[in-house]
Formats: sequence, structure tokens, C-alpha cells
Amino acid sequence: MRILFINNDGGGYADYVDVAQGTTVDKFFSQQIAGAKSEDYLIRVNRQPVARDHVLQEGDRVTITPTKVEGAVAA
Amino acid sequence: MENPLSEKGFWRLAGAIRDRLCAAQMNRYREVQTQVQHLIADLAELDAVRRKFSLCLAQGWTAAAASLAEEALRLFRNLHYTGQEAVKAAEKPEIPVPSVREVLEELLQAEEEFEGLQYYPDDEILSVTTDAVELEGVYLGDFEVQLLIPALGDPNHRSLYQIVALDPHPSLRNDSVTHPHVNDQRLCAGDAGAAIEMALAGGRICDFFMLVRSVLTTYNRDSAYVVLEDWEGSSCYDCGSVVGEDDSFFCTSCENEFCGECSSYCHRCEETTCSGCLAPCPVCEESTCNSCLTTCPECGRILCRDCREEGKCPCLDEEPESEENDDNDSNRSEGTAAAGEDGEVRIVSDAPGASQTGTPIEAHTSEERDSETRAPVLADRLGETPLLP
Repeated sequence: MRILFINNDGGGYADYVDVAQGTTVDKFFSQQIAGAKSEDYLIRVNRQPVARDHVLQEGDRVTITPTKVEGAVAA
Repeated sequence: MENPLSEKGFWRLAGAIRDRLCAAQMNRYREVQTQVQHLIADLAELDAVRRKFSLCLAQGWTAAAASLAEEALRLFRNLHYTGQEAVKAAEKPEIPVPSVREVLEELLQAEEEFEGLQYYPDDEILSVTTDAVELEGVYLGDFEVQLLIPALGDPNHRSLYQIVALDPHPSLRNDSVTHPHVNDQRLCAGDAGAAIEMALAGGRICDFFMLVRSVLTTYNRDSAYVVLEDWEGSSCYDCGSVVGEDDSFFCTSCENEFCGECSSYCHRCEETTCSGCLAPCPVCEESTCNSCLTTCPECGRILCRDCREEGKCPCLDEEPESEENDDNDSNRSEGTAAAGEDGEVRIVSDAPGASQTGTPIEAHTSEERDSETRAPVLADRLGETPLLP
């Protein structure tokens, strides 16, 4: 099934991705953001916060936004 | 004046944001069009060269053809550059403009995430307020993230958004720095820069606000306008008193920071220097830094550079009138140079108080003097030009 994934970690691109039926939010997170802790991110499905074991549905809109982003001095 | 958004107000605002995003998209297309025009202009110039080449070659004008070849080379280079710029403009990712409903959903989500959304219709500013921010024990207060709606479609706008400290606790070192990554209400987004840009280009207003909040609640010590350790000002290296940036002075000698009381300046180079790195010149008694102190080439005495260059070292006043001594043998009875055990030349005079000691560039014992065919050489006042007999 296809879902819209908006990855605000890094480039901030929005794209459609294929996931297997029954994929939970937790599993989707570990597939997309390798090596990161989910507690350092805000995960929204269809603009709403959801539980880790929430099962994704066809056409869902998933947004992953880091809660810790390092700023910098202007170059 | 802040205006609470009604349902109708939300729709109207969503429509306004969408209009700006459409304008921004048109601007992207205009940029590609401009690059196409530049390419066509370059190609027209190249076509003119082609026609002139035909004439030159038909007539056998080699000098003119050589000049045209140079012109063609310049145009090829222009074309290469213009082509690259055109590719960059056309390559920019196509970001679909969201519908009014999608923008509305973003606004409603932002209102929920931040427990409120403010709108200032006069300035067309949409804003959210963060919770109070405290980083590594330093309280910075809450911030209002203001998005300037008109700037969304204007590529030349100075800034798309600004960060206003509502309960400012600026750094003592610089009061325009209200957060380690905010200077003059401008956030340096660092790692979030690209994601923020993409969120705004796609009308993802809530994502934009959340990303900015993530930067505001994170501290990057390696790239801060003012590091949190110095937030309350820096302490004077000497007396330890805490001072702000305007009252802090950097010693160029020891490279530490000092308060106004503990810092001064070198009277020679005028560089800011702490009191500990200054020493009085023994000649003029002016405070002088280490870099401006030197030694007299005659006697090795430490003095400032100015005194040395002006020949003010006391040892120079102690030298005999060498020309008189060398030219007139009869005067030798009045003042003679005698070598001591260490080769130092001692000026001996019959005149009262004229017995002085100096270290000429060349010092000779009596035996050495006998073996030389010329008289001993004494240095002049600066010790650079020997006075020959």
C-alpha cells in the first residue's frame, strides 16, 4: 500500500512510499529513520499523534519531525 | 493588532497563503524564463560571429579571423556558464502548491500543536508561541515565531520569518542575541535550514513552526552566537568581575578578556593590552607591550621601539667624540679607549665625570690593535654605520 511520507529530518522532502500491509508506526519509523530513537521525533499520522503500535492504512499521511535540531551561526 | 481567527478568518488566511505560494511558483518559472533569454542572447552573438567568420575566410583575412576566434572562445565560455545557471534554475524541484483546504488543515494543526495561533492582519503576520525555553540551566523565556505571509511569494524579501523573545533574557555580551541561535530576531536554522525551506515552499505551515521550535529547544555549542557559558557576560581574567561585551576588552598579548579596570593600551602600537602585559619603557616611561619592546644594539638595554629608533638610549649619550679622538693624536691624552679583560671598551677621560663604559660593535685589546693596520672602529649613535678614522 502507498502512504505519503513527509520526512522533516534533513532535506524535508515529501514523497509517496510503499509499505507492507499491517506496518505499524514503530516499524515504519525504524525503516525510514535508521539508527534514531523515536522519542526524539514527533510522529503524526493524518496530522494526529498516534500510538507506536498504530497500524498504517492506505493513503495515510505520515510526518516525522525531529525535536532536536542544531542551529548554527549564519555563515 | 492581534486578531483571533474565526472559522471564516482561517479560510481567508489559507486562501491568502495559497495565493502567495502560487506567486512563488510563478517566480520559479520566471527564473527559468530569464535563463532561457540569457542563452538566446548568447546564441545570437555567436551567430553574428559565424557570419563574420564566413566573410573573413572567403576573403582570406587571417588577422580578422584570429580576432574572431578569440571572440568565439569568450562566447563559448559565456554559454557554458549560462547553460549551467539555466540547468540549476530548471532543476529546482517542482513543489506542488497545496489546495486551500490543505493549507487550512495545516493552520488548524498548528493551532492544536501550539495551543493557539495568532494573526496580525495589519502586517500579515502569522505566529505561534513556544513554551518557555531553558537551555543548560539558562532561562531564555518564551518566543514568538512570526511568519511573514507577504514574504512567501517574494524571493527578494529579507527574511521569511522572525523570532521575537516575549520575555527577553538576552545575553549580557550582546543584547540582540536572545537565544544562542537567534541574533536580531533572525534564527540561524543550521541543520533545519533545508527542511524549513521545503516546508514553507510546500505550504506546510505547521511543519515549519515545529521545525523552528525544535531548533529553539536545542543548543549547539559549536555554532552559537554567544555560548551559554558566557550568557551572563564574561569574567575578567584578572579580577574576575563579570562584564558584558561592550565592557570587555581582549588583550592582544595574552589573548584573555579583561574588564575596563584591568585593561589598558600600549602607547606605541595602541593595541588593547591588559595591565599585566604592559611594562614601562625605561627611557620614556610610557606603558609598552611586549611586541613594542626591543633591545638597544649598543648596550643590550631593554627599551621601546620608538626610543631605539630615535636613538634615545642613554648609552648613546655616553659615547666619546670619536672623530676628535681619531683625528687628533694630541687629544688622546684627554680621553682614551682602553680594553678591559672581557674586551669591553672603557672610555677614560680626564674631564670630570667623563669616565664611562660602553659596548662598541668592535672592541679590541691593545695587542689586536697593534696587529691591525687601521685604527679601531667605533659605532655611530645608532650602531649601524661605523665611523672610519
